[in-house]
Amino acid sequence: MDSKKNIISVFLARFRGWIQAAAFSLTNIHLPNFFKGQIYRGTGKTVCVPGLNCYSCPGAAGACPIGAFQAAVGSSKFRFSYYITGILILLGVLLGRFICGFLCPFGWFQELLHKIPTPKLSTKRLKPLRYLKYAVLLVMVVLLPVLITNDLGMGNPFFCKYLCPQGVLEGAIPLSLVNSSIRASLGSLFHWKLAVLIAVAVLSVLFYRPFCKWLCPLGAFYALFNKVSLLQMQVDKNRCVSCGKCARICKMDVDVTKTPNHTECIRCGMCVKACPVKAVSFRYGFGAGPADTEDKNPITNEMNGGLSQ
Amino acid sequence: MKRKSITAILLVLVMALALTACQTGHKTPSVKQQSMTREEVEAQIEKKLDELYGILEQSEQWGRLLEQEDDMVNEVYDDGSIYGSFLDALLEKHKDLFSQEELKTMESDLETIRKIEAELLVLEEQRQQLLGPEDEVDNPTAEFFPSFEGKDLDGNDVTSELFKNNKVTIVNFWFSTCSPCIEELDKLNDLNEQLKEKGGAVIGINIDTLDGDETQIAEAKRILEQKGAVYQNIRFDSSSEAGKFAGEIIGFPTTYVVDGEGRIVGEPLMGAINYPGMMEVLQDHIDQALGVNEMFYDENTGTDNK
Amino acid sequence: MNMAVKQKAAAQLVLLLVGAVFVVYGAMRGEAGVVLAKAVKICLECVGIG
Repeated sequence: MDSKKNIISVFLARFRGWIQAAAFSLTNIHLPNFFKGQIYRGTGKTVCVPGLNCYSCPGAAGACPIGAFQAAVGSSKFRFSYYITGILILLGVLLGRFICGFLCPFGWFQELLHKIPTPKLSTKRLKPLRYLKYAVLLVMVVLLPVLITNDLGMGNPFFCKYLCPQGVLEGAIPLSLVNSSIRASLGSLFHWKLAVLIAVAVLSVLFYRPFCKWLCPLGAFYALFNKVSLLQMQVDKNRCVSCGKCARICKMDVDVTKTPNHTECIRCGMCVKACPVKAVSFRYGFGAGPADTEDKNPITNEMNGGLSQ
Repeated sequence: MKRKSITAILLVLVMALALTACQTGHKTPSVKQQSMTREEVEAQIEKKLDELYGILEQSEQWGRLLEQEDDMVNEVYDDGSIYGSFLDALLEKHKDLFSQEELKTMESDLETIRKIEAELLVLEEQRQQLLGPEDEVDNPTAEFFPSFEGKDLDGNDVTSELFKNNKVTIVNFWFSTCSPCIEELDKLNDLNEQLKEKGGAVIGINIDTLDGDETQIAEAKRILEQKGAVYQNIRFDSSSEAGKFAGEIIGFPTTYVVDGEGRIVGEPLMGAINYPGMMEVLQDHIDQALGVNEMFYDENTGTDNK
Repeated sequence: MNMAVKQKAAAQLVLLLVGAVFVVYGAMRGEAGVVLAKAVKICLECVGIG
């Protein structure tokens, strides 16, 4: 049972790149629109995609969760969006930051850039920056659209308008390439956002997923659910030899043996691949806590009072 | 001044004819034609026009004849005849003013004029084709704003004839949950007030109201009232030609400037007009639209216009 | 199964239910319509085009 789990986990970890590519394709499936300079207008856009993906992207098949949330709370009718929050809660519990690791197109973009061979910098000493993304979530996404409104009670989607680099990459740039009227309208706001995109891109070459770590409000939200997500990281204490390889290889600065469901863990599975004794795996299901580290060997079980450590 | 009115009439007629020629599928872009740039073609057109004026202005007889033109202009134009025929008809009407010899000269002049006109037609077609490829994947920029029959938000009937009632019409597309669209509504209202003096107007089209959804219409009216925008907002069927045109608009707010002929002037403006720099572009388009009309309509006042 | 696990499983279930209820409630009060309406027309400034 355990080795079967591990086989699946290793499979997932190995093919993550392909899964990311597939996720990008499904999220942005309406390819002809890129050439037509149009966006998809069907009812598919009533639901949001799990990752960060701008609705202004010609190929986008669904709405962006962050954009949709701001659209709902920015309208004069609602102060809070139950609909989108509900979807996000479901996604958070069902998958948690597995979405970040496997299904988010912008995460994939950063990883592809990171593959460019340059000296890489560690983010271990920059841990305080991680808290910034919660501020982005709280202030730009939740509060400002509700607090700063025009005389009709309508708010602006602050994150989308001023910060989100994904919108520039997937929306503004493809559209302005084929539409000269849009090209003509690009002004200071676009230039600012383009600067943000370029900065994130450059940082992504040097650091691993800087946007995910420090700025992404969606990642911040899912992070809160890592501990209660049905998809968990699991370390088989029986097998673990405390070599520390998993902690060293983790690019999100998480030690899976100590904190398998840390808010920063994006479930990428590098630790699964790295473990020499196949002790680390994904686990899916309700519960999961100390009992899963229950020692199943009857002799040592007896000696350790039912638990393996 | 007369020269300007001649140019105006001639250009409009030639362009109208060139367009009809294009629409009947006579587009045969030859390699030779496309080797000329748009500037070169336009320079050629200028040259031909100069030739044409030359004939009319250097001749005392033509001068005399054209002085009779004033009330004939509208008559002939409505028939849609081209300039050569117009002059011919004018000559017919007033031939008693001229001697036999003078008539003979004028007849041969007419022949030359007709020839030049034919050349101008070809050049105009070329110019139209050179405009073609750039506009392919853009926002819809038909030459003319598509015709429509609809209502305004108060229930009154409107049709695309309204363009003829204004020297310039600003058509602003917006929707009810678009913040920047709503932010610019009061500025558009100010613009409407300004344009009234010049014989222009602003009309708004709320995309959500196109098919007559009562809730949407009420919402749109509420927003307009709140922002103090009293100019006309219209709607038409989304399945109509104009509806499809509106359906292709990809970003909001989008503003079109339409002249008195119903022709779209310049590229559509994307983004709010209260955004820095947009007003200048808009004003430019408006001036362009007004310029064409003033040249055409003000010939009798003799004022020199842009 | 010990308490911690049971508690966790309960929390997960509760959250799933809360999520589902939120979705239904939000959809019923018209939020889904707003999401769709805004997602099929680009408000240019809203996405930073301008």
